Amino acid sequence: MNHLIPFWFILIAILWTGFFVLEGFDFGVGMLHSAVGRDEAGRRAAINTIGPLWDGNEVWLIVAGAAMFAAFPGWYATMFSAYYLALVLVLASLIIRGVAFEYRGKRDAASWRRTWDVCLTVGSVLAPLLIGVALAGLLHGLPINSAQNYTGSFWDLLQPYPLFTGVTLVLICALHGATFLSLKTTDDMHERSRQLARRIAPFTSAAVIGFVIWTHVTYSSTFFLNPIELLAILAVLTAVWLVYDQRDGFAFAATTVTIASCIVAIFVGLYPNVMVSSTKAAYNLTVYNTASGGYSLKIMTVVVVILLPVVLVYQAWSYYVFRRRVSKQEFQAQEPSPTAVPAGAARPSPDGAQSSASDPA
Amino acid sequence: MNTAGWLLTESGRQPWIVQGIMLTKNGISPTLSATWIWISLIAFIVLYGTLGTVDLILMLRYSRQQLPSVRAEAGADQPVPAVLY
Repeated sequence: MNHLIPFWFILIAILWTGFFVLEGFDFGVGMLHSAVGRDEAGRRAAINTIGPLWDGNEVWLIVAGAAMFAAFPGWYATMFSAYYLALVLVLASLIIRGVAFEYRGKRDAASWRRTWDVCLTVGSVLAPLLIGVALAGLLHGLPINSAQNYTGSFWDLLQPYPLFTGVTLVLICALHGATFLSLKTTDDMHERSRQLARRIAPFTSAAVIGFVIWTHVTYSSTFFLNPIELLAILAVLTAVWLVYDQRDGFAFAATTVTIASCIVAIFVGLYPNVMVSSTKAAYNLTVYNTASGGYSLKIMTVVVVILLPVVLVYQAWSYYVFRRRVSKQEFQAQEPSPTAVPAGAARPSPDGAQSSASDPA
Repeated sequence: MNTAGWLLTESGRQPWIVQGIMLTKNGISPTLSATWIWISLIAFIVLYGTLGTVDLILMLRYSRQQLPSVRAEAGADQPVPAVLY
């Protein structure tokens, strides 16, 4: 038995968790940017709290998918074929969301900006919803035959538990985004972020408690919740308390733990399966019957052990560089809209440096 | 040019999907229906077509604009906010 197989399962779980912890708040900011920023300057300020961060966060999703492709090709093949249409929708929502960031400032017209604001909001809601449905579907079980092929239709993906998980993730992302905005904005936007967090928190906590219990009964017949599930409930209740107590930093930490423990709970419930077959338990995809050969896993392990710390360091560094709060005044001060000025003309230097970094490869 | 390079490698490799190891016809997902492929293909064509058109219009607008006169370096010594979007 190859000990690298469990290692890669854990790594993939960590990558998915990292994706939701980081991208979770920028999904949340995308959902809430119009509610927190009541005018154009406010909306721009809200978007710019995640401006330098969102694309780096999104790469975690690509890495998670790539790690599944390389380490568990059988898992990847069945999952991505089964979720084919759902993944097309995920891609579409991530595309309209990403383009909204880039395009909305390129023309100085209210209707133009409004269009991209809607794209940003819709994309930010749809993406976590669909990914939540997809991840929960692995645990809930899908019609899979003995040849590891998905035999259902698109509608078979929309079972109650996966849908509830999707909604839960949307609510957690919204709260995570609101606590993030409380940390990153000033003045009236800061107030509104806190207020939104207070409004969302009760719904999120109810959903998380429901999700944890439902997750537990989906895969386990024991009565007691496991530690990670207890942690999720504890974290979300702590988050509610801290949100009402107006302690922004700790509240954000609590929503981080909440979203992380919810994702980890799914993967803990899954192991050693990677996809449960609702047709017959013997057809379950497991880490062992879907893994790559030992040699591939060895090479990948060497690569990831060397490179992952480097990536983590520079991503942490970018968070450190952009740690400052973003205030509305910065955007009111600039006459017309700086992006309406043709590129290259008297643009601030960080702008140029970052736009090259944000070019999708 | 970029796209042409892709087209060249992808079509030049046929009938292989991995040269010498796996044929394209063996790489197809057995469960994927033609309808799904059509839906995704049309969705991507519509999406990329729309975004490409918008991009083209934006580029034309920008290329027709006059360059602004060089502005006085007002506030050049002030810290520049990290404004991206």
